[in-house]
Amino acid sequence: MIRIIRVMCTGRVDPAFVVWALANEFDAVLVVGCRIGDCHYSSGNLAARRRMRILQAFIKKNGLPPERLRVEWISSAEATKFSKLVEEYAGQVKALGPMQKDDGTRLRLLAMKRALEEEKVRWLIGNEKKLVEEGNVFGDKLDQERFDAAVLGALEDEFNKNLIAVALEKAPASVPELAALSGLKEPAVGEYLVALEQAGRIAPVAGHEEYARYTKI
Amino acid sequence: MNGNADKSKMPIGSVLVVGGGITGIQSSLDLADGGYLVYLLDELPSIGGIMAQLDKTFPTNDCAM
Amino acid sequence: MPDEVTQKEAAPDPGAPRIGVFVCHCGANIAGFVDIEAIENHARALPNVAFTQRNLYTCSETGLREIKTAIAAQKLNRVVVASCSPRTHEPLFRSACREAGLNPFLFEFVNIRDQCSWVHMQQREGATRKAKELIQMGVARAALLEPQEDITVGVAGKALIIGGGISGITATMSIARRGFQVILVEREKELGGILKNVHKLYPTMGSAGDLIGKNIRAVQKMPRVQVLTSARLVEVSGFVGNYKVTIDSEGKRIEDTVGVIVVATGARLLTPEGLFQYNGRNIVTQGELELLLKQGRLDADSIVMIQCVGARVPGREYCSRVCCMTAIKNAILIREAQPETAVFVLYRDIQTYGTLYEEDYRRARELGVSFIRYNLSKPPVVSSDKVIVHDELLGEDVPIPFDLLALATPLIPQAGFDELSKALKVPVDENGFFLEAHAKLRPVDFATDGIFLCGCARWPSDIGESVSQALAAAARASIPLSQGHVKVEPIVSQVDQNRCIGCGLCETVCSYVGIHLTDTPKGKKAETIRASCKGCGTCGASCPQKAIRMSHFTDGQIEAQICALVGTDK
Ligand code: SF4
Ligand code: SF4
Repeated sequence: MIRIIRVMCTGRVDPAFVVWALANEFDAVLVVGCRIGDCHYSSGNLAARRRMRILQAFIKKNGLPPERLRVEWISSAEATKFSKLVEEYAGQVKALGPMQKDDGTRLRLLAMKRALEEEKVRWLIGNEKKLVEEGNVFGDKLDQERFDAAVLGALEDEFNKNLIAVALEKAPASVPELAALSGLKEPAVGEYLVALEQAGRIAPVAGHEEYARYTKI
Repeated sequence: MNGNADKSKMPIGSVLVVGGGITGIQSSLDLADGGYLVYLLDELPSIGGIMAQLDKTFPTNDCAM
Repeated sequence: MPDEVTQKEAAPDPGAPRIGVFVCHCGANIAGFVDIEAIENHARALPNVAFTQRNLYTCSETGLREIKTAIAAQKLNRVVVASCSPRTHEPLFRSACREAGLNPFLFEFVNIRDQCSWVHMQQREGATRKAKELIQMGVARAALLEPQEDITVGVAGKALIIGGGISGITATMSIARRGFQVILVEREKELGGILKNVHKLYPTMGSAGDLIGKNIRAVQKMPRVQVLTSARLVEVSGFVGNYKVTIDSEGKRIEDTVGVIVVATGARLLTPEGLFQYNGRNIVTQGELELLLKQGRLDADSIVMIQCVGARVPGREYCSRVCCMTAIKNAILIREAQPETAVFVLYRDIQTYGTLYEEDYRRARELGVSFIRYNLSKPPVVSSDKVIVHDELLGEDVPIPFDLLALATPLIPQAGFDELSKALKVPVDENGFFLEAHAKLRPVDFATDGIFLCGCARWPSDIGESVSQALAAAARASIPLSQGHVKVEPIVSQVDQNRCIGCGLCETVCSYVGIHLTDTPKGKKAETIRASCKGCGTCGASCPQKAIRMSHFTDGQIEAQICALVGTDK
């Protein structure tokens, strides 16, 4: 059975919401809006489509089946089509099985959500049309592949940083512990810690252990 | 704003709507929204007419209330 | 850019949430399929819920009174109603809150009828659980709701009518008579629409030409009316009260601002290429028969009419509603004028609803018109001068020779309906007819405020119906015109200028000039233009700084709804 959350337009759907739903024991998210070209709000669904495409790639890159997110465009007059879609998708999600609900998965999902809320990532995602279709002031366009690589790269970077941040919010930890948890090499962890510390989000814990431990502020 | 009808020339007055079923009620609402004073008359103690006695209405299956 | 007439102070903070949850039985509509008592008990135990109540019909006088009483007695500052669809009932419950002194945006709607009792009719337990959970999500959202004040904007006192057939002309005259300016746009060189080609009108047998001619002359003479022929709507933007329209008329571009728009684009008759040997000579459409009658050129001893040609068939399922009466009317006219001409009507069902139409059906039979029923599974077989019809009632094949065969084809959507639908952002149904806001309760409104529809653009209608609808649409359209202002929903973006860095992304993604960069003492910052913002939220979901807060759909409200069932925090 599905739970419907009403928004004014798919343009309102922040990718962070989708990940937030997966982090909160929903097994899948279906984003449904007006048919492309028929957006009630002119072009909100186009913005949503661009965002959701990147999000799907990001989800996939994090080892989750991309089918956990589905995006469909249906007019409000197409009731039969909608009900067929929901039935079909419900079947597909059942076949995927429930989302894992362990702490590790949740931690990663929270970090994904934070990554999607980071300024750099949002700036890139929001400017896809401009960068790919219109080009910058000099008329230089980014081809789609390079754009995707840039966004996904930025997402991964922010994901790693935030994974460390959310882990430290749970409990103070040292570099080796964080490396084990995140799967990153220790020097990389160190770099993120420096970045987080500079941003005033974490601080080392005073103590006399072999490795310094860090905690959130 | 440009060109709204001159308010002083707008019709003023009141309207009597006889019959408080869906037709009478909708007419009254639209007239009142249009700026008229409406008297809605029904012979029964409450308005609503036949529609108020229905359960669902086709084709939307909406509850008639 | 439309001006905001008033901008009120922000409403006072309603204080710590005390939520009232009202669960509607909807008679047996909801209560018959879910365990409503269990649902109420579940709601009562939810955080911030101060009061719950079940109502037989929450939307009835009694139900609304119960809400108002509880708001006062229980000091409720948030209201959740779990019942039917916001599409039909949200305004009602919002105004009940308003009447009880509660800001209407502190109301939250949970739909447990469409989403629970209807779709899961056979699964009482599951439907009950879902209803509980939907309420739980609604309550979580309700706790975070904030009061909003209406935004009022002025209305341009002018209407645009698209389509110059009988519907469009009628609507034009009706609005103009109330004292407003009207622009009437007709795609063809002349006004008149489909009626120009019709002979006589049922049930009065009056002349269609006279009727439409009289109307065309009247509308052209009318003060305040600007008739544009060979004209086309090129572009529309804006919203109720303030639609900016660009019209191309005979190569000239005309730009104007109108308060309301009425779609009266009509329909056209299907040409039955490939059906029943249609050839336009001795096998014609009922529409072409009208022309023969009108021009006095009908010359036939045996006339056969086939009904439902290309209508009520797979792929075009609907009934065109006017063809039965058209055939009956023409059959009567022919038999009255030339009693020696045989007329056969091959039909599947006859639709002669109402008080007058059935009378014509009876009269046609009296005049000797033969009605023969066929079945879609054995349609009539046509050769060059003979039809063989399998008479359903006789159970036999009946051969009928003809001089003229008239095929009753349905009214189908006007060419270009999709462009218009896109330009106005109003929906069409699966057949291509424009779709009203509600089939029963708002038959001449579109869901978009300030746009209305009437006549065959909506659904095949005959003259009387088209005229009624046109008058209705004109009356509805005149409401904002005579009020002179409209309330637009205060669901808009709000910029936290302390966070905003002036990147301008919001301005780029907005399709409505709803937000723009302005110079402030702290540099360039985004600012919402409340009267233009439609509240779609595209900017909010894009802003890199998360500096935009979407009123009534804040990140916090949406995220609370999402995690309500787990109860975890971020
Ligand atoms: S997108 Fe956000 S940061 Fe950029 S100008 Fe708009 S409000 Fe400011
Ligand atoms: S909410 Fe939509 S309409 Fe309003 S400013 Fe943002 S993008 Fe524009």
